[in-house]
Amino acid sequence: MKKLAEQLCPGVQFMSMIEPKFKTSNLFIIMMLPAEPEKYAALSLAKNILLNSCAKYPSVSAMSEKMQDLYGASVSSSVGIIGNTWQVDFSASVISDRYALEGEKLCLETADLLLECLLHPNAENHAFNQTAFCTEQQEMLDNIESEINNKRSYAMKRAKEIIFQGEVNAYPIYGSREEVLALTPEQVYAAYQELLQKAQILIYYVGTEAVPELPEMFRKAFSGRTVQDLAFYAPSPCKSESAMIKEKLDVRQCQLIMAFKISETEQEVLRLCSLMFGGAPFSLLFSNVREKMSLCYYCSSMVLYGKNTMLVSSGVSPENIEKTRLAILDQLELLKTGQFDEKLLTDAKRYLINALRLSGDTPSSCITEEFECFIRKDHAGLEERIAICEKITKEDIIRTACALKQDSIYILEQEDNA
Amino acid sequence: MKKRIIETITAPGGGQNCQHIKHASGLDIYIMEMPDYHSAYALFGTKYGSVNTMFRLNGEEDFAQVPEGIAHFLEHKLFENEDCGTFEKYAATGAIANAYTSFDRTAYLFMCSENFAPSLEILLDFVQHPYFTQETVDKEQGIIAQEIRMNQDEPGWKLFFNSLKSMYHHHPVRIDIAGTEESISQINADLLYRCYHTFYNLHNMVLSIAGNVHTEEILEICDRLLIPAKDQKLEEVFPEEPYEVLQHECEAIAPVGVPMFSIDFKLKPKTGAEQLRAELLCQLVMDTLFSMSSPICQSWLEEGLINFSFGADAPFTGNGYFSVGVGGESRNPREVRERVFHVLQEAKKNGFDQKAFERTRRERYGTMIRSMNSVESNASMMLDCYMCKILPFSPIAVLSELTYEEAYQFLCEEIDIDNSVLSVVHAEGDSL
Repeated sequence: MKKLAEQLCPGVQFMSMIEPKFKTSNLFIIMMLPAEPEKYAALSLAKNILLNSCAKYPSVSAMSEKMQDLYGASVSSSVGIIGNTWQVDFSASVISDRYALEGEKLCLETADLLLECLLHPNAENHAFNQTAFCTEQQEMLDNIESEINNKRSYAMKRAKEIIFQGEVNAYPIYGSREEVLALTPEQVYAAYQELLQKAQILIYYVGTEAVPELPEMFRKAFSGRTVQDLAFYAPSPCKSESAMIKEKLDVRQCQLIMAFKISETEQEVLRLCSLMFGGAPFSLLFSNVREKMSLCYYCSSMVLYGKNTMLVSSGVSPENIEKTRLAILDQLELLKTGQFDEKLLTDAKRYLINALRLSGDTPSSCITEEFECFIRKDHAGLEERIAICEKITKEDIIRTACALKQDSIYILEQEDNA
Repeated sequence: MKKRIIETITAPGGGQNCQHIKHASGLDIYIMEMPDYHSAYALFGTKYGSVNTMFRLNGEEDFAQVPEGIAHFLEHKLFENEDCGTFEKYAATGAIANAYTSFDRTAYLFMCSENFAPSLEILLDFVQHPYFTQETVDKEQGIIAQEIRMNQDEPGWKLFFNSLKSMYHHHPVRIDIAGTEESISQINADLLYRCYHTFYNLHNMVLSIAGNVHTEEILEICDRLLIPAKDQKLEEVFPEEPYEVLQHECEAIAPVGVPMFSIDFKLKPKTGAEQLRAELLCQLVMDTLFSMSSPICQSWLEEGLINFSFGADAPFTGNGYFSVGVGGESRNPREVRERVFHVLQEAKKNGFDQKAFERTRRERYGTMIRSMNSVESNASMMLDCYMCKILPFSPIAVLSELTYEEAYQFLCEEIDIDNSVLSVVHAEGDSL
């Protein structure tokens, strides 16, 4: 793969990754600002309006028709928080020009369309179009209402409100129902204009061949900005006493979420520690809590980068909640006291290295890999990262496990009459 | 070297090809070499899913009837060996392994960036060497019971299965893939062995591999590890299924936000190439009429009748079943149904927008090309084609042949608004 990175102008970086094996051209524009929870609702609504219509294609059906003309190009957006940084990404994927049936320049056309959406939105008089605004506002309200449909992600969202109490990560990324209802087309437009002027921007292109026009297009589009410093690493302070929240819902299966925090750690060690604990099918949680004790179908752990937080989630029967909670703590104790085979560490390293090497095989994983390097301010190549992983010792794992403190427990229980 | 027939199958346009090998053991093997990729993805699948509940082998007098959910249970148990668990073996190669069971198939898979050969050896070994004891079967009941409960808390799952139960009178597609807590309690080691020896016969199975692999290396491993099987002339029975749906409406109450709905049309099932053509036509017709590029759907969106979750689902097909649905979220699902019926009736009477049809076809072509970007989707595509008894890449070739006239004929002859089900999941207290 041929990579080329350039600073287009202050606050705007562009990277192209040329990989002839792919069959698509992919563009990914990430805009980042310091996270301010009171702006989440407006910015989320703006990003929804932006990709469903624009000045040139001013209705959902006109925009959808254009996408179909581009051989079903997909254009999507998402929002998230990393550390104390809010980010929105706008991505587009289209088949490579060599597959176009009539010789169309699909990559350039798609880049044009994406920029049309971002720079010439469906707006007039400093406000988003009323119809587009109302449709998307209702959509967001529906999405907020439907968060409850997926019990696992609903439980995780509720758990984060406790785990990160008082931090920017505790707030719902789409804002609250009340905040969304209170928004006006003018406010949302103003929030978007601020994003356009102040965001740090990263642009990734992954395609089969270089498109020399792209850097200039993006330079023109995004020049003249004043950007702010961003914090991607913002460890979450551990509560002095572990918090426990229980909530009831009409469910067949209860959700148990436990959060553990660590004040300082090397990210690769924490990642490996979590993998050994509950991040793989050979981990302690999988082998013991699921396979040996048959307590659940899933019981797994993951690390939230930038927050020094490890989350464990499991779906269990009401009568097994306490037993599962204790079993999870027992597995962590095994790591803390070093009661595990060296083989577990070796297997976890192999698993992690395998996953790292897979990252060059899809356009999205190429972009994710580069973006992770950016937020870590770590431009070590793949082989260097593998070497770092190889050097991690059993003592490193024990030290990290010992430093993990329980912060919160969230339980979604069955209603009494369920 | 053992005798084998290797056939090369090339995608339209010549950009990609794969090898099909009929192995001496009875197994069909598909391999797509993708030398520029780092990874490899392998699937070892059998034509055995939740619908295969009644069967017999050549020479057996009676048909066996087995508990619901047994194919899925077997998938879980096959990961256990006499000496250690399969995941422990994979841990030594670094491969990411998993398995899935659907209505008509079970597949075991792994993905890796190194140690492909030992990972393939593990796959071929554990799938061919079952080890079930009553003790381990009992232990699995708790894990699968939790999986069943997890699915029951999933409103989309509830919506889908309620619809199937309303469409189908007798066909086992109406039963949950994982069965019920009651049905899995009837499963024992002997039953698992019986199902295993019936369906995990290499004549009923496929190995599909894509990525940075070498055909000769794979075939050497296959020659060494595949245990030749005798074709047992498996006979499966499906109860006779009427054309008509069982009931036209069903609803369930669950904690959901906006009510979820699905309007599903029961169609006449087909097989092989005929089914592929029907599926593509069905998808094109429904996407043309019910995508967001349709001004009618946009007007429904703007008046708040539907939201962006609305759209046509991919056709749902298999041995003896074929349906297609339009669904999403709405506070007035019955009104959506009336309007969907109206659109279909008008389209049958007056035809539909030919330009929109061509745009939808172009979109589908793009989707097919995009899916060839990854090793996983290529390996899955070859497995799907084997299961559907069609050649790899044939969907893309058939897509280019389809005409508006055929699509219109399909709509008029196959999609029947009187043979549909409205399935709704809503919260307690919601009035529909």
